[in-house]
Amino acid sequence: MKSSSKILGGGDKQHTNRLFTLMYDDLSRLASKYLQHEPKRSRLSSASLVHQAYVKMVDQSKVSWKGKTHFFAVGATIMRRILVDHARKVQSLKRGGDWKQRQLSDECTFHLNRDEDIVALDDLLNQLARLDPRQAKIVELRFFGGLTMLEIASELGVGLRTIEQDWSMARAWIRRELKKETSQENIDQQT
Amino acid sequence: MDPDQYRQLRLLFVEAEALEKDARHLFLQEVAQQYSDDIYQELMSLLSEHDPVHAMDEGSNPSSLRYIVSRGDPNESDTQRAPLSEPTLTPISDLPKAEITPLDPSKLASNFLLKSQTRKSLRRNNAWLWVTALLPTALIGWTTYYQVNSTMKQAVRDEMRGVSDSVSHAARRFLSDKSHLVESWTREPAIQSQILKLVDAKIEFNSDAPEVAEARNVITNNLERLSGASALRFAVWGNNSQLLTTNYSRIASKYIQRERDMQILLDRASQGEVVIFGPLRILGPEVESNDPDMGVITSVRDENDNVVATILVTKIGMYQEFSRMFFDIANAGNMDAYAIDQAGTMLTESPRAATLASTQRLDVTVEEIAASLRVSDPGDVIRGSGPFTNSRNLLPLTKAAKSVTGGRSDGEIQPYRNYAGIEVVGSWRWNSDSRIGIIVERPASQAFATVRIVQASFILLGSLLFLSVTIAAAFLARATVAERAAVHPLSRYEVIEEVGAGGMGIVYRAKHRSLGRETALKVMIGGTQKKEEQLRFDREARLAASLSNPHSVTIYDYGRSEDGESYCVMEFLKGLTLHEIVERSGCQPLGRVLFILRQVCEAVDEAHQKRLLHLDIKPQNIMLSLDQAVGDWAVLFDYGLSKPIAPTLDYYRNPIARWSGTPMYMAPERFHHLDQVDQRSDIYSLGCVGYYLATGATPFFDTDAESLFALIMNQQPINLATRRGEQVPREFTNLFIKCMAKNPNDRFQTVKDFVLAIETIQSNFRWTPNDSRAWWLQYGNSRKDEDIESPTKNQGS
Repeated sequence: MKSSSKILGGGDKQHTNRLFTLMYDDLSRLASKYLQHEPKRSRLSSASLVHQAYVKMVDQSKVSWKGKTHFFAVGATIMRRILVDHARKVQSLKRGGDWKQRQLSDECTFHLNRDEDIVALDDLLNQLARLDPRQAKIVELRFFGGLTMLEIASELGVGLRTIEQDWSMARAWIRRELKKETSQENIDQQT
Repeated sequence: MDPDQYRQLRLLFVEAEALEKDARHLFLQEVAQQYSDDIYQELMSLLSEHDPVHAMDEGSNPSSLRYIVSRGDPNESDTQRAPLSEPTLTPISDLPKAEITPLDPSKLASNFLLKSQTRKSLRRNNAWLWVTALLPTALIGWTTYYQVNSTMKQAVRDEMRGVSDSVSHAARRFLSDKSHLVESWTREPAIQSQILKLVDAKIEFNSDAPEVAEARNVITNNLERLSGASALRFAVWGNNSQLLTTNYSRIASKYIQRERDMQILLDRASQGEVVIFGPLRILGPEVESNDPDMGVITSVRDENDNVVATILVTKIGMYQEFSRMFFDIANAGNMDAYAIDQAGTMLTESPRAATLASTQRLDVTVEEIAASLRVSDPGDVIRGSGPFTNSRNLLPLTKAAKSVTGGRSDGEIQPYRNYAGIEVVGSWRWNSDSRIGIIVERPASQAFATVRIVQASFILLGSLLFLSVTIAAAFLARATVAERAAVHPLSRYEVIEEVGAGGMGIVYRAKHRSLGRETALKVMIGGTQKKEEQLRFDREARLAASLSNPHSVTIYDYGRSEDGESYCVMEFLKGLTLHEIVERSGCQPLGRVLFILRQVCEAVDEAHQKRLLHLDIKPQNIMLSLDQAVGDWAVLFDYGLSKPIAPTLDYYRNPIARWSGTPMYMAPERFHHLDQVDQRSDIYSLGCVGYYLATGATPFFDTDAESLFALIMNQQPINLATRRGEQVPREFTNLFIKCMAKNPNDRFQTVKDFVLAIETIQSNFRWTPNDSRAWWLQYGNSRKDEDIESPTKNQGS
């Protein structure tokens, strides 16, 4: 526990790997409790898990605001990996199962409590990363870590305005791609 | 699409997005003309998906994702766009508590302060005792020991020297006497004439020749008569070293003849010197005893005083007497003493060597010692019989042997190995006349036995002293601390747990032992003895204590212990800080913002009336709880940097005041003019807090301090409406614009003005106790958890 505080206190990006290792076990243990049970699954918020892990692992008096943000950033990456692994596993088992029509609401582009959403997001993020890695990172931090624009700006060391612009564009791009996919799926279903 | 194209697209997107409707339209037309069709299509499709309001909302509202989204079936997507500040979300507190490791109260000793004090005192006392008691004693002890040691070593050296000197003298005298004696014998006319006759006869050595035989008999008889030795032997050589006559057997005489150094001895004798012969082992069938032969060689002169022959006389008991000398001395002095020749061969039978040989601790037999044992260093103590005999000739001489055969007369007190591999100390003398060395040795363990005893006793005494001192120190420390603890004002508080750590001190949750009242105990971080820090602490407590408004934290007690530790006991606040409130539920209803602010203003106003500034108003320093009657109840605390409006001499400005406040809520004038702060700086901070509550974000943020300061000083905060994603009544916004004006003159001049302004518009922004009750029900911690899961962790930050 102390070591995480120290790593975060130092704020040294080099130690991210160590932090990653430290956090991974904790987070996957925390997450598995939700992922095992379907009813709980719908209540899962990856950001809140990271928050729990944070409270547990870190001596908050010793860690700066910046360190906390960094923790959440790393947590976001980890959560993505955990959730995606689980979702893909589930998907491969459920092949050819129910196909729920996904509706793209205005307020919420993704519902992270659904495995299909997770997989779709992951796929899109991978694509986006090839085009603009920073935008993909922003989306990852946002959805899996719950970081605000301010926090993302701090973590990536980029100005807030830039982040907001990136976010707007990335979000628009994702939504567009999803619409394309949905219509494609529609066509597939009909044939 | 590839990354470059995407980058290009991004530039266009950003530009288009920033434009208003009409300008955007124009811009897009230009793009259609200047860029490829693909790019244009991409841009259009992106823009069609882009919705700035929702993008902003989805991007910055902390609530929408930090909480469990229990929207269930997305098909039911809300057609009503409820203001997102009040979503139906399930709070963190409902998550299984098992995931959060609770602090174990039993782990923290209630007397932990006592313990840490004991350790401190212990260390201090120990240090003192060390210096005053141990050090001088140790010094004296060491000097004494050193003196005794060297004196004893000196004694050993002197003894060895004395013995070797006396042995050497005795040996020299003995040899000298014997030489003269034998010389006188050979001067016997009968002997002389016989020899001269043989010399003149010039015959080859032939033991059968009558002259030779005659000479032999005559010389033998005479010598035997003179010396009284019955087994006497002699030999006579002519000038050219050919043997003239002898009563040695043929074999023996051949042996002597072939003896390596014989020639040298004869030459020396021919020069007129009286030469000591041997001891030398002569091998032959007639060897009667095990002893080597020892004798004297002297010259024979003719009437012209020229040396014409040399005569050797042996077996006159010389060896036995010589050896005896060493034997006696060795036994008397409990040492090993022996003679050694120029080649390093032991001449006499060292009694020690004899003992060693007989007990298998020497590589030769007793008979092989005298006149044959080479005094070389075997490299290790000899145990049992080993195949050493040959290699002894190849091994180097012992230190003593090497030195003495080099002609030096010296001693060695530093242990070295002797011929048997035993560590000894020794002393030796070289007699140049007789070419014989004397070595006296004694085993090091014996020699230094006494020294070792002294050493051991010193060490023992030293350790005893050290032990007793340490124990005494421990007892003393404990006694002192127990004594002091009884007097220590904090001993009447039982510490339960640590709840936070701030810039200067640590805050604990504590209980008054007798009264049972739960308090917050702020202790200055141990070790900070700096006058400035102490003054700050004192000031903080005194100022806060003088405030009586219910929205200011109540100070119960304050003081400083003997050790110089300052402490402050105040009411233990339960609830959530404003910071936590926003973390849990994002931006707050406008009515609530005003409600809370008004309460805080009351507290600040009282302080200002008493001519005190807070200077560190921030969401982390305001605790909110639920009062059944009033609803939300705010308490302002942590007057860490309070400064009286009119500074007096003893309230000197802190050099670190600039950085001690959280920069994000600090008024701009504080950055460049530290002493131009007044109550309006507090008003600015109040405005920031209100902004934070209303938007869920600090007014200014940047990653590094310098940029942050620049923003605070120059930039206007982002519009409330923009942040909230909805319309905000102008009258509300204006309130905060006025609070957070860069120029203090543009702000409310007093808190009372601010309060008045709030009251004016408050009727349009309702927030009832029921509203707050509902919020607390949803976001607060349930009753039963309030004790364990201290949400007041932030009280000390």
